[in-house]
Amino acid sequence: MKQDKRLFLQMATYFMALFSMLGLQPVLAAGLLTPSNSSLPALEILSHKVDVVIEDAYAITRVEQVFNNPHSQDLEARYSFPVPAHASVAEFTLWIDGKPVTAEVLEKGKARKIYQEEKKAGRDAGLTEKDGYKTFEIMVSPVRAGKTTRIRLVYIQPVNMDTGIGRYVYPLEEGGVDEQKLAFWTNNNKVKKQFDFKLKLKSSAPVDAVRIPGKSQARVQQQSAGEWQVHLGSQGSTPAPAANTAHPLEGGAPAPAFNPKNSSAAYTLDKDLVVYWRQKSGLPGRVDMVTYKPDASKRGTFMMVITPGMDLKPIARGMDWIFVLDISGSMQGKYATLADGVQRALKKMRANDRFRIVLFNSRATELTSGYVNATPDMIKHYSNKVAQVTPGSGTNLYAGLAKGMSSIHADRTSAIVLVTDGVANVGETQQRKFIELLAKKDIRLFTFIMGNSANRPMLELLTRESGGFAVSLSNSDDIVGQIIKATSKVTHQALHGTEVKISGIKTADISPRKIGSVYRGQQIVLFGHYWGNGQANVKVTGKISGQKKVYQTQFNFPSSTRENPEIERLWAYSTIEDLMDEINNFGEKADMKNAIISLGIEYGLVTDYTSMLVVREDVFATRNIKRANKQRLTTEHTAQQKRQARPVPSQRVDNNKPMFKLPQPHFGGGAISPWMIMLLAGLLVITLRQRHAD
Amino acid sequence: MSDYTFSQTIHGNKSLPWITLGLFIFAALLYLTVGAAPSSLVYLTDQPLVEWYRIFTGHWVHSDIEHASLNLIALLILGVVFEPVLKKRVLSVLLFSSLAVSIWTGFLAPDLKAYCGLSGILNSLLVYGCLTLWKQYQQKIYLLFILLAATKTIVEITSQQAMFSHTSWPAIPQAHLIGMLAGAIQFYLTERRT
Repeated sequence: MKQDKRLFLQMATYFMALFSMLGLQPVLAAGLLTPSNSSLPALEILSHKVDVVIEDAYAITRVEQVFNNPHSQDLEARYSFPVPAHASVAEFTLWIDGKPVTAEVLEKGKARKIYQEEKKAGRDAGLTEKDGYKTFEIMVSPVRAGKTTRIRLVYIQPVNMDTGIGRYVYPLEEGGVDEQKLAFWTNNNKVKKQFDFKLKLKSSAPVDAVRIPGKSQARVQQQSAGEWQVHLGSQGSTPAPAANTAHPLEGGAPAPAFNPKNSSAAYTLDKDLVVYWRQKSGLPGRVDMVTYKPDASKRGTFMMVITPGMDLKPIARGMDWIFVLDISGSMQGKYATLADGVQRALKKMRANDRFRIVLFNSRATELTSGYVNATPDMIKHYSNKVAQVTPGSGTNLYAGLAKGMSSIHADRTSAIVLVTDGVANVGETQQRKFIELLAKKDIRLFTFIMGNSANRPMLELLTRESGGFAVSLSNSDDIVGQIIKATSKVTHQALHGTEVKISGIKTADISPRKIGSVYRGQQIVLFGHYWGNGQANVKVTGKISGQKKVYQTQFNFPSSTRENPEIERLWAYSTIEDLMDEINNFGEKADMKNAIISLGIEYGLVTDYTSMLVVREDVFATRNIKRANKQRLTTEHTAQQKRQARPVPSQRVDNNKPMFKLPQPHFGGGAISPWMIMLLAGLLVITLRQRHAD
Repeated sequence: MSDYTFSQTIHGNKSLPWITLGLFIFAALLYLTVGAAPSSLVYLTDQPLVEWYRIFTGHWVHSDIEHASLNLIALLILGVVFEPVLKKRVLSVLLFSSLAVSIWTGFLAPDLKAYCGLSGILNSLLVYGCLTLWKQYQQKIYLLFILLAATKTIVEITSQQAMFSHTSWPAIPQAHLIGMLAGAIQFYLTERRT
C-alpha cells in the first residue's frame, strides 16, 4: 500500500510536469499551404464553419470552408489538417457553378490522375487524400481569379468516453515533427471573415456538465438532461481592398498579396478545440448497441459499446518503472519542465523503490546505469543529470524502447512509461520489429502520445500488444484531469486478455480483432456484422491478476433498423485499421491492399489507398464513375434529419440482465451551491442582529 | 455572552474571526499556487490510505474557480457567524469532520475515485454552529437553518442531481450529509462532556 501511494504520487507529479510542457510546444497548424520559395501568391480562407453532432456512440463533424482568390490569376487551393483520431472522411463536396457536387471514392493513384487531368484542362475538380497518419489534404482547382470556392468535408468517428467523461477533439494543431513538410510549405492558417464552431451533444444518459477548456468566450447551453450545445464564433475585420487590381501585363500594378498581418483575422487555426462532457455519476456499468439492418433478410451491422463496472483493486505489490523519454529536436522548449517533473517525482520515492531513466533521440542513453534505489543522494545526483540534458536530433524510438527493456528483472512487475510526440525516423522503424521487441519480455507499455503528428496507429498497436494503454494528449486538453485518469489506470488492476464472445446469433467480421487489456474507466467498442434476429448471449472474459473473470448478458439483436446507417462506415474503417496494422507489421501485401481499396470504395472512405474525387457531374458520367457514395450520403442525410427531430433513445440493451453489478467509476467534489450561500447569508444576518440585541 | 459586535468587525479589532481568515487565506493561496484539483493533494478515495495527509488536504483544494469561490465565501460567512462563539473549536470541528467525510468517501462511497472540496466539512461546521447558537439563544430559527440545509441535501441525494452547482467535479451531496451528521455527533459529544 505504501509502495503504491509513493508510486501514485511519483507518477502524478511526473506526468503533471510532462504534460505542462505541451503549452510550450512549437507548432504548425491546419491551413492553406503554399510552397515555400515560390512566386505563387497565397489564397485566403474567408470562412471556416464546423458543425459537430455527437449522438452517444459516434460524432459526425461537418467542416465548410470558403477559399478566396484575391489575385488576378486562377490558383489551386491546398488545405491540410491533422487526421482526427479513428476518423473516416465520408463526404467531400465542392460547389461547382453554385451547386454542390459530392465526391466519389476511387483508388488513390487513379483519383489523382483524373484530378490532374481535369486541372490541366481547366475544369473544376477537387481531391481529398490521406497522408498516412498525419494529415488529410484537400486540393481544389481552380479557385478562379477574384472569386471564391466553397467546400464541405464530413467525417465520422467513434466517441471516446473514459471514466464517465466524454472527450471530442477538433484537431487543428500539427505536431511540428514533419520536418520535410515544415521546410517545403508555408502555411496560412488565418480565417479572414468568419469562424464558427458548433457542437451539439445528444446523450441518452444525463450529462452534468460540458466544458471547452481555454475558450471562456464559448457559449455552453443545456437544452435538456442529455442535450447540450457549444458555440464558439468570431468575425474578422479587414482593410479595404486595393483599388488597382489590373493584371501586371496590362500595365496595372499587381494586386497586393494577402498579408495576414494587415488584417484582423477572425480566427487562427493553430490550436485544437477540445470539448469534454461529464455523465451523471453513479451510472451503471452496461452494454449499449446501435444497429443498422435496413433489410431483415440481409446482413446487418452493429456497434456494441461495453462500459464495464468491474471491481479493480489498487495494485499492492511493487513495480519497476522505466521512464523512456523523447528528447528529440521537437521537444526543445519543453525540456526544462520535463526535467523539473522528473526531479519532483524522484524526490517522492522511497528508498526501496526502483527506477530507471532512458533518454532517446537519434540514439538511446541510460542515465541511471541499471536500477537505482531511491536514496536521497542518488535522487539528487540523477535529478541534476536529467536537468543537464539538451534535446535535439532525430527520433530513434526503437533504441529507446530496447534500452528501456534491457535488464528487466523477471521477479518484479515492470512497466515502461513512454512519452513521445513524434515519429520514429532514425534506426529501426518497422512496426513488426517493435512488436517483436516488446514480446521478448513480460512488460506493459503505457504511452502518452503528444500532439497530432505522432504515429498514433503504431503507438496504439504496440501499447495494445503489451497489455498497456495509450493516452492521446492535445495542448488544449485539461491536463490535470487527464493525469488523474491515467494514473488511476496505472495503479489499479486491469482486465487482461479481454475477449468478447457472441453466441445465439450469427455474427462475423468483428473489429477490432484484438481488444487487449481494459483499464479502469475504459470502454470496449466492437463492430461487426450479424444475420437474422433474436436473443444473443454476450460474454466478456479476461483475467484480473491472473484470476479468470466472466461477465455475461443476454439481449436481442433486432430484425430491422434504419436509424444509424453511418455505422456501416465506422465498421469499415475499423476493419481498415485492422488491415493497416497487418500491413505495418508484415509489409504491404496485394490482398490486404486490395481489401482496403474495396472497402474504401464500397463504403466511401478516404484511406491510405483511396481518395475522394470531385469533378463536374457530366465528367462523372463520361468517365463512367459510379455515384455510389452520393447514394450512401442520401440515405445518411435522411436518417440524420429524422434523428435530429427526436431525443436520443437509450441504446442500453442489457437492462433485463445487466452484465455488470457495479457502477462505472467517476470523480466527485464537495461544492457549496449559490443557494446555500444565500441561506448562510440569512444565517449571518440573523446571528449578527441577535448579537447586536445582546 | 460574546462581546463581539458587527460594528467592531467593520472597524476592525482583535475580535475578527482570525482563525477563519487564516483558513480562508490558506485555501485561497493553495488554489492560486497549486491550481485546480492538484493530483498530489486530492483525496484518492479509491486508495483511501495512500499518503495519510490527503485525508485532510483533499478538503482544502478545489476542482475549479467556481468550486473554490463558492466554498471560500461559505467558509467566511460561517466563520463570521460561528467563530466568536466556537473560537478554537472551529478547528476541532473541521478536523473531526475531515476524518468523517474522508472515511465515508474512502471506504463507503461506491466507486468514487477522487474527492476534493470544502463543502463536506463546512456542512459540519454549519450544523455544529447552529446547534451551539440554538443552545445559546434558545431560538428554533437555528434549527430551521439545519433543516433547510438537510432538506436540500436529501433532495439532491434522492434526485441524484446537484441543485444549482455545476463544477468541474460533480457535487457529492452524500458528503454534505455525512458532514452534517459529523457536526451533530460532535455537538452531542461536546455536550456530554460539559
